[in-house]
Amino acid sequence: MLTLAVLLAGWPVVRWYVARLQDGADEPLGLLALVAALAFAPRKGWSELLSEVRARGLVWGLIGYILGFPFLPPLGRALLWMVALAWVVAPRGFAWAWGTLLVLPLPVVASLQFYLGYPLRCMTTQVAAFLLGCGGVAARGEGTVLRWAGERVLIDAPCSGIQMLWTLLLVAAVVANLRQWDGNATFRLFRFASAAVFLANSVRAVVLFCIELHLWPAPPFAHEAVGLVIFALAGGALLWRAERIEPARRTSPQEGNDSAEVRPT
Amino acid sequence: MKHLVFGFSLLLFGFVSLLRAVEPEAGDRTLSPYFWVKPTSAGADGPSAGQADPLPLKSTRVETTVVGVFAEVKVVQHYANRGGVPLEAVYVFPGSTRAAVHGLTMTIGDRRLEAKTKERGEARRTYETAKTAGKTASLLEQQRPNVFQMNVANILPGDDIAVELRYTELLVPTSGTYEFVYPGVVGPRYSHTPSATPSPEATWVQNPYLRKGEPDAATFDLNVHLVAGVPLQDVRCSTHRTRLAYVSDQEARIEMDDTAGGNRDFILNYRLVGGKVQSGLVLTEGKDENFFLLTVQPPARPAPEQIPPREYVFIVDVSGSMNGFPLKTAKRVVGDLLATLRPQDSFNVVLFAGGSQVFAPASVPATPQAITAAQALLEEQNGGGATELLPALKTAFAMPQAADVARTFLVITDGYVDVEAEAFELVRANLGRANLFAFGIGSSVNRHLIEGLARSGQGEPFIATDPEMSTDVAAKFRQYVSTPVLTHVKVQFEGWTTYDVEPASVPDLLAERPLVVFGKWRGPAQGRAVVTGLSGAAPYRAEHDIGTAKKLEKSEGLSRLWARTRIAELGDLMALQPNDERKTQITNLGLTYNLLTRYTSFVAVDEEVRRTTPTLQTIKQPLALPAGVENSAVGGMVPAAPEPALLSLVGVGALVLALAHRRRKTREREAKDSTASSTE
Repeated sequence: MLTLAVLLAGWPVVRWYVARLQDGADEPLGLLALVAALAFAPRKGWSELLSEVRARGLVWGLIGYILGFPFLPPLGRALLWMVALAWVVAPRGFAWAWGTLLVLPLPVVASLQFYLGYPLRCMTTQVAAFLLGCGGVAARGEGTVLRWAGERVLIDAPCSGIQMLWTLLLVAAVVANLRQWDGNATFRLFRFASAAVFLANSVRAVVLFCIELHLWPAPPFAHEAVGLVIFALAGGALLWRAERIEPARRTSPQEGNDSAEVRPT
Repeated sequence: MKHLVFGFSLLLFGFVSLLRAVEPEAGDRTLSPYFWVKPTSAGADGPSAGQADPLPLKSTRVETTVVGVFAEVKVVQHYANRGGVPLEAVYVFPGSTRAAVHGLTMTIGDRRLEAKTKERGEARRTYETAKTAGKTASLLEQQRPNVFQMNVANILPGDDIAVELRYTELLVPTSGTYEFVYPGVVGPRYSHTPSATPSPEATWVQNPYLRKGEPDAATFDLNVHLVAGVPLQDVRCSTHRTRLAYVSDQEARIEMDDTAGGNRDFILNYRLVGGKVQSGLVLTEGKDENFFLLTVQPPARPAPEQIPPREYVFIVDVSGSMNGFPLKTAKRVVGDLLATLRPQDSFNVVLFAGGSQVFAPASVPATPQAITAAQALLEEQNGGGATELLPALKTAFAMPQAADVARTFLVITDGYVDVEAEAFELVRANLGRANLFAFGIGSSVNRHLIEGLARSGQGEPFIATDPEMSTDVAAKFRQYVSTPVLTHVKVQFEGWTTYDVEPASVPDLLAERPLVVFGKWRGPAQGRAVVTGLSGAAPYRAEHDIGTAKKLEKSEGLSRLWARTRIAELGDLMALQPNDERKTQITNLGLTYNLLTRYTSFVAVDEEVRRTTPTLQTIKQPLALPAGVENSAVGGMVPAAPEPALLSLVGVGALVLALAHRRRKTREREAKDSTASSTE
């Protein structure tokens, strides 16, 4: 009943989300994350009694949602509602991995581009300039522009790596859900995914710089191909890291014991 | 603690990166064209009330009359305001490099106002004063010899204003073929001029362009009335659909049948029956001055085996604006030329975009291996980056030259730069024992640059507007360079007083084209004109009796053409060594002969105050991209590195997950097998 009540409370969020799906402003591929969230939805938590920790998390989540509803933008409301939902349905503690699968379908890419896009591009430019220097090309990074020998290559908005980050976080969330990891392990995997995407994007910028300035001859489809190959390598690195987080990352099977989670080594 | 340290380091790095995101200094930003964005207020039916009309130029109509070798061209532009806000229209458009623009008329309703020629600054002040006062005014300025800018102020809602400009041009045939060219559109120019401190003459570069494929709302219409005086043959237009109608065997009317044909040059070719060219002496007698025009048929071209070995340096533009058809054509032209080099010749290749790349440090013999390697280098080029012509020319000029071998430079570009004057100066200062030819490739090349480079380099210009022309152009170039028609040319007048003769010294005649000399004369029309030179190794001499000259009734055309030639010569000299005296000479020529020049403009003002509100919006008319030019030619299209599409990324992510699942299942199976075997 409690779960049903929380779901009903999020009806405005659901309605908003459906409208966003239909306006074409965002990629509809977020639905994949939603399908994954439904597939991995914790079933035990629906029928279990709430522990004190879970109840506290649920209450705070709902208070934040209700009080913030008139003031927050729709995305903010959606995030708070999902916090409440993740507390109520997960059998043990806050379901970080499953919660991520709930958040990824939301139109977060545009917001991430707005707030994180420019800083990421600046950092990517600096790292790319450094890597080019290591390779003997004395490029300068100025803001989001790589300069060399009178030429410029722009690390503009579509080059920020946000889309790669979204996709790799989706992969990481699915892996964590499949392996039923706790919050700590999930967070470590997400952290690795973020670092892998940043580095992969910088390497991608280096390779495309060389192609754009004809230092390396390449056919027209090389742009897309290079990006996908480098992303695949980042994905491979993610899997490698996931293998090294021990199988004991699963949540404890003990009932009602939120603190009895096995710590990752 | 570890997480805190890591997080802090990340923040610090991000902060430093942002600090290094230094705003480029004002001098780093340069003028550049940009893409036009349709205002949201402009619906399918036009701008809404209270909004400005974003496209004030509605149509351009060109009417040309060719009588003999003189073309008289009238260009009528219609500006209308279908919005609700008074506006000033600014329109940049091309003109022939040989045009002597001599008149401007503005028609508002039933009032027709003739423009006055004034010194450029004074004309601009007159226009700005009229604009501020609410009077309708038009100003025509020359930004380059082939780029003009029309400003029309105070076009009120509902107005329809016609602005007409007139120019004269001399048509000189090549190999018996006459060619009339009306340039279609000004191509987007790469510029080094800082945007913070541009000179007023430079700001025209910052013009909006429509994207490739976006239709131009302004229509374009052109017709030619051809009166040769001699039977015509082979009248054809290779660039547009036209309707041709013969009035008689010496007269024809040609009408363009394509209202959207303004994005490329209109080229009309024709020949006279029997391959004749109109040559001889034409005289006019004016009130204060008399003018003459002498055209002399050249001798036949000598045989190639008489010509010694030559060195060829190809300087090829591989910048962003060359992407597509122009670069493909350039590759073909150079490939064809390389294939025709003789074993005793030598060559080198300089490729330029933002930087320059050379095939070899010095020219190499034209062996089959060297030619194949050079062709392979060219094939790798895709077209991208800036257009740094001057550094490429300097690189080419600095190459070591073998003694006693004549050198020929060949520059291949669409000419979309704004450094024409600097390029001409560089060429003139560095030629020595070399000639320079210029190939323009594109549907609307910068003919001022192409022709100016060739003139400065005492070579010839070539224009290929489409790929099919390139083979013929390459053949023509080979012929011109290897077998010049006439060298060491001198023109003398015996028993006849002439002065202010143009050109002052006649360059080598490389094309099968008449020798053309303008000038003034005084006293009785008697004596003879004598042309001497060398044809291959043999001496050449031709004489013309002044008494048999044809006299024209009206002198204006000839006087304008003479003045235009003089202005072009002074303009080239100004590029070498700017000084006030030459500037004054050009200004005086413009004012005396009523011509548009770099220092004189046309201005027309309607004295009635028509705008009483303070609102006036300036609208720059967007230009169509020249046909065949890609969007990458417009400044701001700096190469970028966009991420792959999200769908592709998700696909790769799914593959990664599938791989992970497969590995896990394999491991579980192995673990199970291992457990089962240990239990046993």
